[in-house]
Amino acid sequence: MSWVRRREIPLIIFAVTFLISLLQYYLAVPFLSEVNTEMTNWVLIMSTFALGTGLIALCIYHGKIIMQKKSGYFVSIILFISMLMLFISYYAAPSFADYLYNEIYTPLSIAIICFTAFYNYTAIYRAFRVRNIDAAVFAFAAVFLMMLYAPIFEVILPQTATVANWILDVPNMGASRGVIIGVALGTIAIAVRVLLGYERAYTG
Amino acid sequence: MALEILSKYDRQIIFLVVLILTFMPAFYPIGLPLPQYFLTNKVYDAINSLKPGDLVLISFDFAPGVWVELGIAMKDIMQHLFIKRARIVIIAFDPNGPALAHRVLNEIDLKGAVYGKDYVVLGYIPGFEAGMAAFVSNPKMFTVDYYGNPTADMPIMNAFNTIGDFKMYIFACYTWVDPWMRQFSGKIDIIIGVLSADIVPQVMPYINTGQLYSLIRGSRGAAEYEQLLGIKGEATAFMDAASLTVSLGVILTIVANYGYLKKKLGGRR
Repeated sequence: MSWVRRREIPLIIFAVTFLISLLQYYLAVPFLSEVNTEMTNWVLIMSTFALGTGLIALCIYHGKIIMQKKSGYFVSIILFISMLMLFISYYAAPSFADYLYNEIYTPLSIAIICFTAFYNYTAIYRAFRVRNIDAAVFAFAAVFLMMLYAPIFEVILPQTATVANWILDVPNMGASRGVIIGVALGTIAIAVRVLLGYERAYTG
Repeated sequence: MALEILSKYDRQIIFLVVLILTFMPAFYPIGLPLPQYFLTNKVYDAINSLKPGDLVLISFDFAPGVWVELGIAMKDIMQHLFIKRARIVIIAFDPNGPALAHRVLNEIDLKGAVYGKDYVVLGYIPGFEAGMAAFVSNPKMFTVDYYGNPTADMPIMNAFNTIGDFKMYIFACYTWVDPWMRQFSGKIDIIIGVLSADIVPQVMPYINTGQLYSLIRGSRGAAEYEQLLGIKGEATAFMDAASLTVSLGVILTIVANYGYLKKKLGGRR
């Protein structure tokens, strides 16, 4: 096997970068901090490249759809036209780019999110049925938290806010803390596994 | 009979009612009083205690789809910051952030603030959490701002060297706040989150520990903030619609369970 294809190379790169990042956090060694800052800058550069590769992949994907005239290919044409319009207007006419962004893209994005509201209310009707004790607890918490975001309930019945805030501050707080600690421990466990070479999925 | 019709055409009926309830307050405003949440007051007091020239870092980390939840709140907060004559540095860890910041700046009264001296939009930092780590280790990483101007000549860029020079950090996001907490906590004294209402429950442990100083909870928080500022803005206008549609949610829960229990008990008999 060629040395460039050896599995140990990505593991060594990971181990070295991981240890530098870890040690610079705990040790006040200027050299480690400088190396870590440089490495972080590399990550930024790679992330920027990822945006570029994403754009290329998008163009290839939709370009193929248009070339092969697959169903809905006009949507891909709209994508190219809007992408080019926004790109050119950012340099040629920035005020038109603002118009496109604020008056077309933003309202469309908001509209898509708003569609979910209609389905959410249908889901409330269909799912919030107290079939067992778990469903009862779920429905109880959900109803009081919904009420918390509508001033009408707090005005008519201030106790609803007290109950909702208690749900947030006591049972929710405990569960959220558990999740946060669990995620942190899981992350440490994964890091140790990768460092020891047991986790190799990222090497491809 | 009514329950049977609702069961058969629930989606159509609910869609129609939601639509009516959303539009109705535009024609017949209810104008309910808005009780204040203590965390909104805490944000207001923290910004109110800023002195002219204090440095505030702001990151716009959301997409335009949640503009109603977060964008309006950011408008109100930024308006307050400009009233207090704080110096504002704007960054973004979401590619949409700079454009949304640009929109906010166009829609508020800047109170005579000068670009480059009193405020600056530095732009988007890629890499998400890695980008946050890079900015925290070197806040002067930008050589040009969002508009392509060199930052070296800007007076505001000479006002800070490290992340600790910022008095306050305000971020607006609609995802779990862990990355912001990991990278900024302990480095800036006051961290404030402008968050969509659905993630507030997950964030409460950070409020309890003090890692997150306070938060604004979506458009309801924005409406409360507008009340504190003494303005009747967009968020205040949304509150009537929120009250009516949430009332529908509660009514639907009751109706659904009434129908379900009736059917279940009827079946047993």
